[in-house]
Amino acid sequence: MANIMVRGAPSKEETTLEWVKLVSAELSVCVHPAWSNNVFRGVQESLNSLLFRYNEDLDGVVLAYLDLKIPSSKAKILCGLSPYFRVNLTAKLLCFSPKMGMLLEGKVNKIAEDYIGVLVLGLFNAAIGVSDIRNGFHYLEEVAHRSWVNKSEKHVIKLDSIIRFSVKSVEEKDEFLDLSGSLMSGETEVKETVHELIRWTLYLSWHCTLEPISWNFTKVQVPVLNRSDQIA
Amino acid sequence: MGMEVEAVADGNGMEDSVSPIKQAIVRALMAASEHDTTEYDKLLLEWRDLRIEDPESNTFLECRLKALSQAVSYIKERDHEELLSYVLGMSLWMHSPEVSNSLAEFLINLAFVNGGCLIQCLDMLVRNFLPPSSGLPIFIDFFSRRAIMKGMPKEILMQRKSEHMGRKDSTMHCLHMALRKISELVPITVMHLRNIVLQRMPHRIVDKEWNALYMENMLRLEQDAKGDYIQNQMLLAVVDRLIQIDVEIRWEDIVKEDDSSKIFVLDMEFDELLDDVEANIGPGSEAQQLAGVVRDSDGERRLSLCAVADKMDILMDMTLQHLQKCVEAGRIEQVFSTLMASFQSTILDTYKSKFTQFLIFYVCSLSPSTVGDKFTSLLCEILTSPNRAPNTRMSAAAYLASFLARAKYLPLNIISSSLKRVVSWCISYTPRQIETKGALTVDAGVHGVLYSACQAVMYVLCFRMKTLLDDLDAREMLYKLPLDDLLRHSLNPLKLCLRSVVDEFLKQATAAHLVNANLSSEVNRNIDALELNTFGGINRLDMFFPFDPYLLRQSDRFIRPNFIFWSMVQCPEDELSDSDIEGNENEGEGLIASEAKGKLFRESFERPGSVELHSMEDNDSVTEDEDDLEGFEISMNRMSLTPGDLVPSHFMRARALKSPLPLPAKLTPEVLQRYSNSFC
Repeated sequence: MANIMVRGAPSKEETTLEWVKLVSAELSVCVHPAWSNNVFRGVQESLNSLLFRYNEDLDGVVLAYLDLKIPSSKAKILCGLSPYFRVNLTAKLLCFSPKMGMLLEGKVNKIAEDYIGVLVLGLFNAAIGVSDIRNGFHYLEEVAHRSWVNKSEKHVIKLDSIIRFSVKSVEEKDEFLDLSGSLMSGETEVKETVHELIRWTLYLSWHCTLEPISWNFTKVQVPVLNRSDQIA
Repeated sequence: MGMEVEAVADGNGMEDSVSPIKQAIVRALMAASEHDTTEYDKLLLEWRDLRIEDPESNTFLECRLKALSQAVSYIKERDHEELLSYVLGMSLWMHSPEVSNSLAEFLINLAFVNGGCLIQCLDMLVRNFLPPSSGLPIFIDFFSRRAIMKGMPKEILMQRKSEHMGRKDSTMHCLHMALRKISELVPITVMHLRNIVLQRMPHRIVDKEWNALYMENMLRLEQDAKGDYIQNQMLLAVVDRLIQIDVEIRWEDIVKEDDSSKIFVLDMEFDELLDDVEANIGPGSEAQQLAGVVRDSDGERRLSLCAVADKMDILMDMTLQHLQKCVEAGRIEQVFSTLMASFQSTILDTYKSKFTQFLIFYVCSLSPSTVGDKFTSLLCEILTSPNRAPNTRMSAAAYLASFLARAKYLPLNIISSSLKRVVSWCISYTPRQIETKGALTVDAGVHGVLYSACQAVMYVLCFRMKTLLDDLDAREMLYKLPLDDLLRHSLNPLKLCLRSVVDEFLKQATAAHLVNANLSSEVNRNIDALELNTFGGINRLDMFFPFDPYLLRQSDRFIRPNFIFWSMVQCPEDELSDSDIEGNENEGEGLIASEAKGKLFRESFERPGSVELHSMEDNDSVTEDEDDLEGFEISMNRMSLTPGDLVPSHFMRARALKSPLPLPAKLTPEVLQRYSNSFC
């Protein structure tokens, strides 16, 4: 982290999801001299250290970086023990930045008597404790599966359901986010399908998690992320 | 509140007894979050006062853990720090299987619900890779620690080792089940797990038993893991650990002291020695010895060395077995590419690593035509790539030479194409500086890569010439190689390559009419003249052949069937068999020199590894009697290609003293000088 600096104020673009932002940022990255024959790759290696960690300057967790551009072919060599050189670049960073009260969507991956576990973007866990589940829902344990059922609203939350829930708290610990959710608000619900952007981000982040080091970000096709743009 | 249900009944009663406890716990937890800690304090007291020797304690713990895992959403890491530290301080090795399972269940729930506790949970599981009876501070659980603080001697804990080891399978099953579940449910786990595992790894000098158990857990993790990432990371970490121990085994440790009698001590019964070692070994004894806690007066160094070799053997055996399993599971490509990454980043540049590289040797043996080919091409590529550091390239040359020469399973076409590639690179080699032909510096420092490459070609041919000549295609290729040009290169490669390799090569090549018959004598004359000035100087090429015979007894079973020993090599001319070479050697040498050399040879068997050879003889299935063993050793020794000197006898003495032995990492002239004084 220390070798990456965000210069100036990053400009945020909204996406179709309130809690995913596309941030255009000017960065300067200190690259180890070992990468001098392949600066681009060196920059990528450095940027990989940003992934999935909370970054204060960007106010979010970096999911991916896109549109990496190094405008100048010159870089300043820093004095010090080893001659790192500072490369200025611009990039678009896809950030996950949930805030209290926002409505997130995620997939249920654990049901217990005590809580419902949700995975957001296939990567971030959020737990909804029993005290944050609104009245009307009750826990049902059957032979094969467990579920939380709301008979009056006709909601059934079971494994692999897609649910929309509100963020109760967001805490950051050692650069990692800890989310807890709530089903108190009436806007929360069980959804039929997952938002297309989520599907895309999910795909992206899964590849990143599995092999953050070898993942080649230049290969990713960048979809246009406009509010009006609904991907079928 | 929960105390009313202290005496819990059998099986069915469990569920009923859990729910009141759960309610009590939930109340206590909630109240504690509101800063009313009376009930919470009572809860803590229950845990603190628990005596685990008490048979009731198991039911107590099981109930409470079950209740807690149904109340995880009330646990806040800030408000309930103390309770968490008690529960997370428990050990899976100490309690009944039911308690361990409930504990694992609790951890899974906690890690899932409370992201802030994820790292603590993972750390707790990793700390359970070893039982508390290992005696290593980090791995001692909460209850034992309390008992020790109250005055229980640590030895009592360590005495429970056999009991703990008895439930190893079930504990490891429980442990890895929990880890697997957590990684499935919480994807971010992969970002932490590697660091935690590396951080908790016991120091390499810790007793072999614990090092082995920890590594077994790492390999298990590798096997269980779903994603490539953690698999690769574990394998890399395992290889790194092997390298660390590998470089620790240094031959000169045995002979460092001036005490020349030590050399002969090595001839004594190693079984006895090893018994002593076993007797002294308690957990961590090795570490204690090194730290000076326990002073073992006599031969302490040697014993610990023996133990290090033993440790290496066990770890290698385990890793090789694991690799075998991976390959059987169809993961050869993945494993191999990880090994290659590790090879390039660590093994290749490690100065004279002795055993670790055999992992690659073994994996290649399982699919020679694919991965074996990849390995040789990688080596050729490194050798010929101008972008790499010269040392790395020279090292690659040594690996290539040794691999092509020793790997029995390699198809001939791979050998011949690699040779062709290296030779053509050598021929096209042009010094960077513009130098006039007469003024080329014959210097290993400047043209080291070329010399290593030449030496590699000759070394491979020493081993493979007969085989290559027997094959029609390879034979044709071999005769087309511009060997004459290469050896007469203006940089005079023959001068700086190892004498023994050059001699053996010229002998075989002349016999096979591969090189001009004059070359041999011409070269000899040339070298003799040069040798007076340069022999033993800094210009001489370092000798290192990574796949020299493998000296660890137990893990040798993976290597031996695929290995070409020098004694198995047939020379193009049959009359130049082993016995003749030996004969020549003895005739050529002065009496004193041969004696000294003979002893040096013997020393060379008595390296740490061969300590194993003796010590483990009894329980080994390869039942070799003394004579066989000796024969084996001699063949090993030949492997390193020291026979066949045709140099005038007055050089022999110097040669014998300076001739590099295969294994020792650093053989300084001083050490040898001391030897020769004691011998002659």
